[in-house]
Amino acid sequence: MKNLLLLFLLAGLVFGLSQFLMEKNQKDLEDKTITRLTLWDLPPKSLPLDRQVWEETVQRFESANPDIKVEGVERQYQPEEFVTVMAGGKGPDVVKVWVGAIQTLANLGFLEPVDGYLKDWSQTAFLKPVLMDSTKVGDSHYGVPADSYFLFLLYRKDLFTKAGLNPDNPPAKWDDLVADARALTHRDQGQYGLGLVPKTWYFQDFVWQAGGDMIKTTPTGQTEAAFSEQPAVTALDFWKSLRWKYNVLQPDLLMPESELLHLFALGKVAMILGTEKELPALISRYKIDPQAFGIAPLPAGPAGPAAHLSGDIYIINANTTPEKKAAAWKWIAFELDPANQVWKFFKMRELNMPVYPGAFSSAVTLTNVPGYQRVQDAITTARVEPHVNGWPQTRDLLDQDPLEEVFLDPDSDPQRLLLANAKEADADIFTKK
Amino acid sequence: MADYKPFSIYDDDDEKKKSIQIPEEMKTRSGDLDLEIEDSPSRDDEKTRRELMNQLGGQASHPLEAAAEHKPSESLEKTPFLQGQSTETVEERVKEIVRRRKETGKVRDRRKVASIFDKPIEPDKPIRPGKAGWHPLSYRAQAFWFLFPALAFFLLFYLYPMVQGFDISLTHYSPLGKSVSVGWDNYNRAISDSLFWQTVVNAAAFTLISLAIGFWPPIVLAIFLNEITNGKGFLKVLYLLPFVIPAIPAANLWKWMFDEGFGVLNSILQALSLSPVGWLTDPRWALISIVLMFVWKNTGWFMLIYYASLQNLPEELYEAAELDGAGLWKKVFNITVPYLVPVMWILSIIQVLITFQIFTEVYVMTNGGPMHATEVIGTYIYKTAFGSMDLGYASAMAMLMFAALFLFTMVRFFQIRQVSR
Repeated sequence: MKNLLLLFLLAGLVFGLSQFLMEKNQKDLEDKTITRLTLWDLPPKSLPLDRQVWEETVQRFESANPDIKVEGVERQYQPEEFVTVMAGGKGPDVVKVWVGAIQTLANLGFLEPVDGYLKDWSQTAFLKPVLMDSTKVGDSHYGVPADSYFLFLLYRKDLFTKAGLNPDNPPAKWDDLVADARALTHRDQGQYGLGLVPKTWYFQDFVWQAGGDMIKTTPTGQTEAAFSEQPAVTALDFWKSLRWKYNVLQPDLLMPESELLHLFALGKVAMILGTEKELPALISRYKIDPQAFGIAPLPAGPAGPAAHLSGDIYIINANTTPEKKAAAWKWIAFELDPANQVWKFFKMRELNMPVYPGAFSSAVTLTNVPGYQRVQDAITTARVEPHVNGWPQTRDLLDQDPLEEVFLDPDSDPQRLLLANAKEADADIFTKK
Repeated sequence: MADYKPFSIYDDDDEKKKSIQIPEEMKTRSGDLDLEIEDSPSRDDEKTRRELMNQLGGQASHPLEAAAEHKPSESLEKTPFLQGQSTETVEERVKEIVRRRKETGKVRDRRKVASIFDKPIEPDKPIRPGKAGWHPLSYRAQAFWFLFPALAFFLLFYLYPMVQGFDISLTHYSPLGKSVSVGWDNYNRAISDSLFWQTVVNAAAFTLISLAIGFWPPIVLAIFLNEITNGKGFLKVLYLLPFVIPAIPAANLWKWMFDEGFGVLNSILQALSLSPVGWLTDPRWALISIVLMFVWKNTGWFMLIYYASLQNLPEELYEAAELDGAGLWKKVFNITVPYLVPVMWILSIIQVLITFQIFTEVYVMTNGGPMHATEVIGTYIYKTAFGSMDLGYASAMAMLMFAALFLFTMVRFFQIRQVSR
């Protein structure tokens, strides 16, 4: 009996081993003919509709490219994870990264220049220059804009109506912003007119609206801080007045954007600076009527309107094989192709998914979506963050010193603070880079 | 001067005077008992003994045989060494020689004579000679094999990354192998970086405040818990609950409680007609607020350690104190607290190490703000490494922090050792 059992076990083992070897052989054979492409950004199972759209896109891509097999990974770009996996040689072949990281990642040698691919791509001519500028580091482009979005004023139409304001007439200028924010602030009811986080990410828009810039390049090619000049001082003075003179901001001035969005969704804050990309998540998470939200260009400052362009950029891993790089470009070209974008738009509508303009390729600029007409104008005044060495450090420097200080100290002097930080940035960051 | 003490506190003086009974079969053999290699006299010991006996003018026979043949002479033990020339007794002289040999490395420290890995002693079974060397399959080698996985884990996931970290700290690091060696530049940069020093000051302040606020509550709670008879288990769970909650949800919970506009703490203050406090937005309060959360989270854990220690406190001490008329406070301060002192030493070290390395609570609650008021070394390193992607500089700061904490730990352990002696 024991021998019989042993025999069966042995037979099972031999069978299992032979199956394993056969499968391995088949996979090896496949690997020689098929390029396996690793993609991040596979939507998690908790977002079944997004996942369905993504999987159907992959199926259509694989049908069109039978020699490429896409392997999706449920992971999105996070700086610490991305750097770690790239350093370990396990990075994805294609991933969308935040536009603000392009400079740093390109300097680290993670990103493949795509100028060669762009030269032969049919959609290149349709890409707006401001969008392409966001992918440029030095003389090369290191990606293609995928989900582009702009900084807008998001507001609660229901609170506007309640306060006796016209919900279809959001503030167009700084003065309007102050007036509306005051009308919407009811501290006794825990309602605040404007939600603002002291971050350079938002502050630079106000500097642009005041006619200034964050950095400048000297004739010798040296980068210098420009945020100590009068337009930046005007912008910071305006921020200070929102906090201390008009007192229209949320009480916890240092809360992160995610929590500010939470207060906005709960109707505790009437207006925030945000991107249209954030609205679908709010609508689905808080089950709010989409009509309750309004979206408008940022109010114009003394020098006119200016919007902040941001978004995700498709990049190709510089350290993958040439075959995979070629396959990665095929995926990007397929995904951003107008035909696929239109298919995606109708698919999302079919599945009753919230649609926002930034969900679509900037190449086709599907900003004619009803209800988002205001967005169309934004691209004409949109600007990109500085793409110079040392900018991330400068951004951090500004975040905590002058911006937080004007919110926390009523006696702070914006001009002095900006001047001190500009000197520090010039001495410690820009000259050393 | 540290003295070598080969004898245990458990030695029984009367037992020493009795002659050692050696089995007949062993008496006929010329070798030693060969109980185990760790327990048998080494060549060094033998040599020491022979030299010692030569100096004493005696025969250099085996000590056990000698013990069997001659009863130990109390008069010899107490006889001044080399009469007329020195007042040292034989015992003192032996101690001195052994101490010197130990200092010069010629005699091993043999205070550890028994191990849990020793073979069980079977009285009816004749003792076989043990193996003379280390064998990977020997009984005693099991200790090594049991330790091996943890050791391998430590080497692979702690020591190796630490060495790599040091290597990275000497470079302008590029993850793709294009790092440029910059020598000690990153360390010099840290030393001249005012923000780095501010993080050190903040971390030190955090440590001191958390020690000031959080040192005694667990001790008091442990003493109370030890005294009560009903609901002990429930209270233990209750106090330990904050420690069980993961750091991120706990920090988020407190963040909302501390919220200036919507937090429960300010609601209470306002109900009492007091002005709201910017718990996390006022630079004067932010650090203290995080310390409060930290103390809330860790008190239960520290309390449990003190409580476990109190379980071994002999009740007879209290009974004796009561007979002497001691009241509650006298019992607490003269018995309980002194008994907990060794645990306090260790926990204070742990507390310092944990607080100095604090990251999650600060990162979640303030991210180092407002105006760097809560920026600690951990958050600054993180921002430098993954915000600015300056891994070389971040590693240098991490190494400096490691060096400081290592030095602190060594000094404290040395102090504890001195105190316990």
